[in-house]
Parts: sequence; structure tokens; C-alpha cells
Amino acid sequence: MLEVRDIEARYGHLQVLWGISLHVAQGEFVTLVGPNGAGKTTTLRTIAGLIKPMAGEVEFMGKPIGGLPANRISQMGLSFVTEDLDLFEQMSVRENLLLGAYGIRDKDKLASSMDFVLDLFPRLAERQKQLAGTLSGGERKMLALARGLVSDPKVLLVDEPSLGLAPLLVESVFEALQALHQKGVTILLVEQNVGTALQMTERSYVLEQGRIVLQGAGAELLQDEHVKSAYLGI
Amino acid sequence: MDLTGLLALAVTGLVRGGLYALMALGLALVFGVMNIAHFAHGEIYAIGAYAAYFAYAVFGFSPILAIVAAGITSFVAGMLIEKGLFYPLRKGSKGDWLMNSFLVTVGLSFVLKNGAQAIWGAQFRGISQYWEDSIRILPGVSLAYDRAIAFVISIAAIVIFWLILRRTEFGRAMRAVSQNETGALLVGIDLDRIQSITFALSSMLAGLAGAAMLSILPAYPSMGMTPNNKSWFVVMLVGLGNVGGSIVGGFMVGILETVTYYFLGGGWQDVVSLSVLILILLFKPSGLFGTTEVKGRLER
Repeated sequence: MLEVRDIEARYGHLQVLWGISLHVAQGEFVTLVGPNGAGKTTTLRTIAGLIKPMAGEVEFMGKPIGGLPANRISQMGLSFVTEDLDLFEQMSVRENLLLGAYGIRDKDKLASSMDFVLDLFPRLAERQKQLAGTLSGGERKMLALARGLVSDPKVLLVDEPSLGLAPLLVESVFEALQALHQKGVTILLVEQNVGTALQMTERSYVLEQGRIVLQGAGAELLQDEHVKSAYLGI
Repeated sequence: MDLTGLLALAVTGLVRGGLYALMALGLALVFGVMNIAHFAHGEIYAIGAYAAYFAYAVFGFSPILAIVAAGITSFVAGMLIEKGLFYPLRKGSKGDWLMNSFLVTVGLSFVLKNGAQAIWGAQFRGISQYWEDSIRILPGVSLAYDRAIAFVISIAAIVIFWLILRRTEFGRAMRAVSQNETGALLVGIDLDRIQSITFALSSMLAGLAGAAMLSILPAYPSMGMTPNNKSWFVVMLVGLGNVGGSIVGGFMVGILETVTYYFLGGGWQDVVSLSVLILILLFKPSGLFGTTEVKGRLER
């Protein structure tokens, strides 16, 4: 579904990614973990088209997308939920969701997608007319996720959804992601909460200083010495 | 002051206000969606006026057709300007060009003004009237058909535009781009297309205003200065980028100017208006309806 080969990316003169390769097969739930500043967000931004890779290839469903603008990639079925959420603050919850479905012409499909995300996040259903800027932190995250989902994407990229959330909310966010995984959505998650991420997902990549240093099944990585000392404090 | 006088004042103020609202709307739109401080808005008004003049006085179009033709011409001109001037600048620079965007539009204004003079000379191109007669609203209060139709056009354009902005997917996309460009990209919106059409729409609104007012304000190369100043005045008064506010502000300024004109005379119009602006900005720098952020937003 998603294939990334040796991508390199930079901000101005600062090179951040030094040859990242990863893949996500259809229906998989894969995580990308690592310390702050490692390049996790940069990797997602490059895949989503917000940054052009300097080298390497990105393939989505077999088609090369490296260098394509972000809106084209989004329309191809890749949704990216950013760390900043990038909500439309002065618009209502409902309008944000309608925009998530921008470009969907099929009215029935739109209606059923809206129903689906509103079922998944009942708090949002209650606040449909409320302005996004007035929602609480947890509700904003839910709205960002819902907006990413309402287009029924083939791949969902999520950047650190648990940041800044109370533990109870973190649980519900992860539960929502699990539910989506059960439903068959393909997910690539960047997460700081390494322990939980490794437990939750099938496969993980560990990114440090712009390079993939480890990869494998979550359970294996949890036993790895480096992971244990660097990320789990064991 | 009797009722008739009051009514005459109200009518004149509303008509003037409608035109100001139309012009300010176009300006607020460009600032809100594109973040461009547009100082060539008056020259776009002039394009509309010239187009209407040639359509009506030279090619013999009917008044309504001439005004429509002017609207279309301005739309196309706006599209060409955006694609030829702003798009390459946006693509070619690293993102700090926005700080200089107003200089670019000042340059554009120069080019358009002097271009018009070079092509058509400095003489006034005016018409005496589009339609004859006046409407008698009351004994003692009559309104020239030209002004009445100009008012109707302003209101119709504003209402249609408002409906587009709030009810259509395209309008939603415009608002999205003004509020969060990254978010807009992520949901699949083509930023370039939105920018082009936004500028073209803003130009169409200005062109319609210029065309509708042709019998009152004839076309000449530097005619755009006053409409530009008035539009900026309204937009600054209500808060940059506030589209709904700019409509209300247009009417407020129109009525304020008319009242000043009646009680103090023509020379005091600008003095009073600008004094009001200075006072309001002193106490509320973000404008009457503005929030604390200066960046434009297409708000409610």
C-alpha cells in the first residue's frame, strides 16, 4: 500500500532524513517511534506531500507520489492528521467534517461517512454546531481524526495523537485507532509513547537522528536492550 | 430636519453605503484568503468603468449588458493578474513575499494607471446616464434610476456572494484556505485554484462597482485612487479580512459620509471619516469587529 525507499529530506540547508525506508501493507497498523527531533514528523510530512523529498521514492498503491502536492496525495486517499491538528478554527465541527470530505461527489457516500465518524466520536455528534476553536483539547484531537477519516481514506497517517492529553483521553484515542484497525483501515502512527505504541501495533520502526535503526514486531522490540534502556527506562 | 430630509439622507447614505460595501467586500476577500494587502483595488474598479464605457458608449450595449460585460471583463482581468503576477511570485519565493505583497500591488496600480493613460489618454470617458428619470419614493424624495439600479446591483452582488461563501463547497474551501492553508491542503483543496478564483471574484465585484457608477464617476486613468482609499478605510475600520464586517462597515461609512456632507459640507467628509478611523484604531487597533490577531480570516 505504502512504500518508502531511501528518502532524504531537508529544511533549508539542514538535512533531516538520511535515507528512510519503510513499508505499510494494506490493513496493517504500523508505528514509527523515536526521540524528539529524530525526523518522525518530517517523514510523515514527506510522505503526505507537504515536503518534497530530495532523494528517494514514495509509492502509494503502486504509484509514485514523491514530489506531488499534498492536496493531490490527499485526494488519492491518503489522510494525514498532523500534530498541530490544523483545524479550521472559526468553522463548526460539522463544517470541518464536510471539508474533510472535500471532493466527494457521491451524496450517499458522504452521508454514510459522516454517520460513521459521528458514531465513532459521539462527543463530536453532540457538538456539531460548535466552533472548532472552542473545543477542548481531547475534542479537538477527535475532530482532527474524524476529519481525516470522513474521506474514507486508504491510508491514515497520524502524528503523535496522545500529546498533551490526559491519560484517560489517551486511552480513548488509542481505542479509536484500534477500532479503525479492526475495521480494516491502514494506519501509520507516529507516537512518542513508545511502550504503548509497541504493544498496540504489529510492526514498528525506530527512528533516530534521521535513520531507521531498528524495525520489527512490537513484541520483539519490547525485548530489545536498546529500546528498553533508551525508551522504556528499564 | 423634517422627515423628507431624513429620508433623502437615508436613501443617499444607503446607496453610497451599498457601493462601499461592494468594494470593501472584494478587498477583505483578497486579504482574508490570499493575505495580500491589495492596493490596486481601485484600478480594478477603473477596469470595470472603462469596460462599461466602451461597451455602452462605443459598442452600443444596453446598460445592463454593459455592466455585465464589465463584470466579466474584470473577472477575467483578475484571473490573468493572479496567474501572471501573484502565482509566479508565490511559487518562486520562499514565503516571505507576502510581506512585500502590498508593494507588488502598488506597482500593479502604477502599471494599470499609466497603461490606461498610454492607451486611452487622460481624458474623461463618461456617460450622462444609463437610464432616464428617477423614482419618486415620496414627494420631495426622488432617486435617479442610475443610482437605484447601482444600489440593486450592489445588494444583489453582495447577497449572491455571501450565499456562495456560506452555502457552497467552494465558499467553504475559500474560508478554509483563509483559516489554515495546511489544513486546506490536507483535505485536498487546490490552493492555487482557490487563490485565482478568489482574486477573480474580488476583481469582478470591484468592476461591477465601477461599471454601475459610470454615470456618476466617469472613467479616467487615475480614477481608482478614491475607490481604493475608501475601500481600505472601510476594511481598516472593521478589521482586516473580516468579510461580514466589511459589508456592515461599508454601509456605516456610506451613511457617516452622507450625514457629514449634509451637515458640514463636502470638504469635511474625509476629515470626519478619517478622524473617526483614527479614534477607533487608537482604542481598538484590530478594528471594530476585529479579533486580536491581525491576520485576516473569513469570519462569521
